[in-house]
Amino acid sequence: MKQKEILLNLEAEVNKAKAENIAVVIWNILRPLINQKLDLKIVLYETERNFVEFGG
Amino acid sequence: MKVTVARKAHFNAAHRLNNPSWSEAKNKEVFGKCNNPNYHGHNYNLTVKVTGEIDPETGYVIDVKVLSDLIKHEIEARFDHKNLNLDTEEFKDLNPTAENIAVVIWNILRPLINQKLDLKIVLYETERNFVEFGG
Repeated sequence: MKQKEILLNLEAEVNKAKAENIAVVIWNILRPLINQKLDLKIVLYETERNFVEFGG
Repeated sequence: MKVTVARKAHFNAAHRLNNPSWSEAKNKEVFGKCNNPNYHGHNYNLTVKVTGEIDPETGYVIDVKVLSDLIKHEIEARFDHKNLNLDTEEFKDLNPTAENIAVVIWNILRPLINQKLDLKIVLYETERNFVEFGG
């Protein structure tokens, strides 16, 4: 791969690992495993002071 | 698909709850200890929540560094280690209750954050008392 392509791929991987996306991924993993009658919400602290919330 | 990003911060400030159009007796009756003429302090814990779509290019709803700098420069610089009644323009004629502080913080931050994003303030005045304001 050309260097630019490698960098772009790396950037894409880093984006996927943002707290926002991690919360969505966790929600997507757990949602089918929990009774659909129940609401599901993810709260993910990346640091003591920064957190994200996702409820679908 | 909306995600909420939140940043926690804190500031220490003194205040006194008082309604100048009331008598001393009525202020004391309504506000109790919080009406103490020589003020008292709180360690305020602030959470600022921003809700919106994830930007597909950055993976962010909002860059937390941007949010954290806004809180630092616009809120902490203004209110930390201040006497809210005496040292701040915002509370010269506004009772600095937790309710009003939350509304003032929301009003300061709202124009500085993309209008497509929702903004919510959660302000803890003590470990057990907090207020929320989302506009």
